[in-house]
Amino acid sequence: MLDYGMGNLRSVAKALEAAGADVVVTSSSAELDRSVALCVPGQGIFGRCMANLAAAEQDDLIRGWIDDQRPYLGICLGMQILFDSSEEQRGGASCTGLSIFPGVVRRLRGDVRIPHMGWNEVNDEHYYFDHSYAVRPRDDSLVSGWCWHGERFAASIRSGSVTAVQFHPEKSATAGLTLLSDWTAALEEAAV
Amino acid sequence: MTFTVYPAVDIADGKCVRLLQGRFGTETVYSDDPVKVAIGLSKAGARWLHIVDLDGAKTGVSANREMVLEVVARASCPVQAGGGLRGIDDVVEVLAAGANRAVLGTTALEDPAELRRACGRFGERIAVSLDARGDELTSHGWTVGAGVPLLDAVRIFADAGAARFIYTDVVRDGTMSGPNLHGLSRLAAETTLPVIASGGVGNLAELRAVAGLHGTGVEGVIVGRALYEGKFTVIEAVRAGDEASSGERAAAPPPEH
Repeated sequence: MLDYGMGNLRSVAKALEAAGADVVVTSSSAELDRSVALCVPGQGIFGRCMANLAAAEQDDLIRGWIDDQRPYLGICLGMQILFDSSEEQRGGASCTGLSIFPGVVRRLRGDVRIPHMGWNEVNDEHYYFDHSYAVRPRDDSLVSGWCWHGERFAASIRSGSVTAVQFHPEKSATAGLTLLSDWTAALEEAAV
Repeated sequence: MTFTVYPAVDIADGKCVRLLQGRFGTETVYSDDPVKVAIGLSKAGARWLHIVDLDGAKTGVSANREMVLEVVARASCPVQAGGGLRGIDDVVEVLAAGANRAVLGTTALEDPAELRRACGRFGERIAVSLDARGDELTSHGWTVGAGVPLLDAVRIFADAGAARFIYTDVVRDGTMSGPNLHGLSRLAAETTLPVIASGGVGNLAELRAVAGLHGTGVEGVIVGRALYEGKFTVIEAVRAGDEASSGERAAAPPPEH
């Protein structure tokens, strides 16, 4: 799990451990390179997140990781940064993303409470959300789960070795644990 | 938005307890391991947890903060944490550790400017306690009568930017003698902000009665002793809340753990 100074990663680490993974939380490229899979959680402001990644040259690390088809799990900001740009630019920080997938991150529209904080439905399951911005991929076929809050937005995407979710599986009870367990089980299968 | 049942974990002197009407010295100890209790409740199907440092609430010194933060890190559902959060620094600490909501009570009463700053910065992540003995608010873990009328406080806190209230009828709390539906209805009518009810729920029928007020702005209920005494299970409470608030029977199967 990539530690890039964006909030507390302990909940996600604990949840992945409960899902059967051996988790190392680190900012060391060498240590990450020894791992089977990369998880990038993250909460906070998109621009600051990208600035932190760039300062540690971890933006290239993530690009290279996904280029090499290695398993990637993005949670919340870890999903948003995969796209071209975000509207969120408090403090004047950069709002350019990693451009792994074409599309933008937009503030949720509609006459609803922002942030979108609480349980909501994706593919007949309920997950816990906490965000004000959401991904709008140019290619809808990336999207594996849609959700509704004021407008339809991408709650999860899957493409190649990338799985990414806007919600917080670590706080989504059984549904979240199932998602994480399925992800770690697939890693094990691939390793056999 | 569905109606939310919040199982409560109150910590005093490192133990999981319930007080009677909020009086220190009346506690029933349910476990020496509050973290284990909390994780158990989250695994049993809770969609949220409500966790309180009772020593912190009374004295302002966060005696059980470590345990609260341990629950926050390990619970598989969102957590709202309160008790002894006496300013922005305390709020920052629990939110940074991963709490999904911080509850302010004494601070809101004693320092409205600090409440305004906290709400300005954290918005939806702040809930304000209305701990009422009759029509008067109490503070310091309910040990002090604040001399502020409940409905005045509602206006002051809403003006400071509070996103939601947690209303506790202190006289009912820990008694399982039934919630104060009259007081709850009156409060919900008085404010446009969502209200979480607390105190007095002793069985599923009473929980359903609270959930029936969902349409008036009562978004959830905190349950404690009734769960610990086995009056109902977490999943029964969650389902009863869903059914009573939506007016239809929930079809979802229970979670498997």
